[in-house]
Amino acid sequence: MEEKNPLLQVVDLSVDFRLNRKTALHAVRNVSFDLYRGETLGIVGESGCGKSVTCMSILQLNPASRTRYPSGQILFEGRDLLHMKQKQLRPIRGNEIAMVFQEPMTAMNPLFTIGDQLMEALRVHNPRMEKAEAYERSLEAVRSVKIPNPERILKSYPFTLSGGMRQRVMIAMAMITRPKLLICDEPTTALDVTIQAQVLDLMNELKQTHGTSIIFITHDLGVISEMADRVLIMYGGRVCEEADVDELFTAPRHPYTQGLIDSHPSPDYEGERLKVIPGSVPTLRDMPAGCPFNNRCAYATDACRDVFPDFEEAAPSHVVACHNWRAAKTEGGKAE
Amino acid sequence: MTEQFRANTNENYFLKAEGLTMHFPAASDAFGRPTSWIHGADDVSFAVPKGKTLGVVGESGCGKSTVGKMLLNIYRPTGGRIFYEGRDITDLSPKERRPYVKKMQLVWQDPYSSLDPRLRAGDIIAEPIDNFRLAKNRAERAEKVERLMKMCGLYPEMALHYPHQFSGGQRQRICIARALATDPEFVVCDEAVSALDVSIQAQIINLLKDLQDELRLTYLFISHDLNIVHFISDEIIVMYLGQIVERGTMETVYRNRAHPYTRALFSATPAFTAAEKKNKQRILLEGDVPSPVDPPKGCRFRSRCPYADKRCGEEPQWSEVEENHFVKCHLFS
Repeated sequence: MEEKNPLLQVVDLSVDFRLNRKTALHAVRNVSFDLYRGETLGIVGESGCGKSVTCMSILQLNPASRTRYPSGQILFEGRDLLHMKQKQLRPIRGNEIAMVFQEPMTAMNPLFTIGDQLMEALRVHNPRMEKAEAYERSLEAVRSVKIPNPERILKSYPFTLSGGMRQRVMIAMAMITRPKLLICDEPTTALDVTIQAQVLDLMNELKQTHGTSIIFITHDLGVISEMADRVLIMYGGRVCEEADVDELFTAPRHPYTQGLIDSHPSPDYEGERLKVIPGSVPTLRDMPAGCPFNNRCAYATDACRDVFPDFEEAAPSHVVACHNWRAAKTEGGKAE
Repeated sequence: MTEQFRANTNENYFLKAEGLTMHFPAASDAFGRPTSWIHGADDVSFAVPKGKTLGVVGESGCGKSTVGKMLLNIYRPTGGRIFYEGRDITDLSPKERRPYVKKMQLVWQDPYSSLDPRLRAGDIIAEPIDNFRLAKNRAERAEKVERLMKMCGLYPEMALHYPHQFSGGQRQRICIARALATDPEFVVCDEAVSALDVSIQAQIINLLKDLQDELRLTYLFISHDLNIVHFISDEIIVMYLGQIVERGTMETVYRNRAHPYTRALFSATPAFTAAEKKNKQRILLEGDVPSPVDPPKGCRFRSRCPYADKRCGEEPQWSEVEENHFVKCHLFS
């Protein structure tokens, strides 16, 4: 099998946003992960944790004038995307790596029909394609995302579609070039739950038929547990835990992951009050030194305030970056 | 509506809605007369006992916010009646309404747009106090603001800060403090935690629960997140396209979901523990919610319902599934 080499390797990625000559915000710090073919990687975290910035970096979609990459490599089939020129990236963007954004209305051009926009995606990457062929492919793409009456949809404008329909069109548009990697940034956050269920189901089906790898960004733990094979938990621009999805939900090791899971009211929770993580997410400007979670963590020691912990293996293919995960583990066990 | 259902709502309840209806004009002819109507809410009846929480769930456009706004007279209902401790408050004059405005407050969804960016936090919280002249002098006003801020988990020193200096969770605490400034008895929480991060959501929910215990508040808790509604509510109504399709106590509805829509809604909420995932059967609904402009006669869910048959062309009646649990579906009649 070819499974030896990951499709995408992010190595030690750091991203800075320059505000002015003196200050730079450290949006992402030392993020590394591998993504294999046909795998879904979920990235979970709260607003400002760097999950979107990490994924935008893959296609260099962060604002170029203000973004610096002090360290890191992003290897896509061995090619380093992070140090490519825009011109070299162009055949990869939207062709080999496609993206689905949260708000489908702002991601589409309101002045062109759905059909025009789908065909554009095809013909930009393959200028010699006949219009008729492009039309056929678009029709097939729209059909594959289970939109009724595809001929009519191709002729309609984005504003005439409902939110769920638009997000399906976005997925069709992303999948039309048969990308190897699909990056989904909160694709279902704006949708209702019954529509979300339809879209998630569809994405899983497409993944199985085409073998596409997916990076799935969300803040919703429930969605992650249904979609992902592996999960990356991010906080304050750093990865704090990485594990297989079932392992992560049954045996979370990082105090932040534990807090995140506990603060969700699960249906069989009996207590009167929810368990909470005290305090709030610090902004990038006042991120504490050492482990970014130290000022909200019940297990924080002096070491946590000085250095960011190294990754330790808590179980096979389960790594956690916490000085005190062993203490957190026993406590967590008691609470169950 | 069956007799049992009426009997149930006729008890001496704190806040009661009877047949609330809200139609918005959607299009009009050359003379400005409306020709079609958006059915925001149709024949919505429920009752909330004192000190309890009524959860309202449903998808966008189902009319759950419309119901909350009608109760607070932000929308004037086109039909139906609202009773507050037995008194009809549907058509009061502004002067007669004023004491009820004081007793019924609202917490909005988005703590970013519901706070005036030019006012300091302390002044935002004091606005209702000034409006209703609840403080005799500046000292008393300041003292009240301080008490409210402490109660909602804010540091009183923050009273001089502007909204942009607060995080989302803190802003929502300001909104709650402002809503409580008039000592209300009834608070509508319209998606009050939806815009917040997960770890902050839990803090706000705990705050709402503590405040309820302390001040004996009654909540109408509107949300699309079933897990949260399940956690906080004592009773629940499930809405679809402007109508209530199922209602009952939280536990009976949760344990024994009757209406096909309720079942689909609960099954669509992503499960997250391994055990939950295993014994979960997902019911996928076909299609989208139909337009609320001139909705079809009969059961409004029938276009997406897996059990729909001929009977569904007629409007279903309320049937009692078990004690304190009612459903509007032909499957149960």
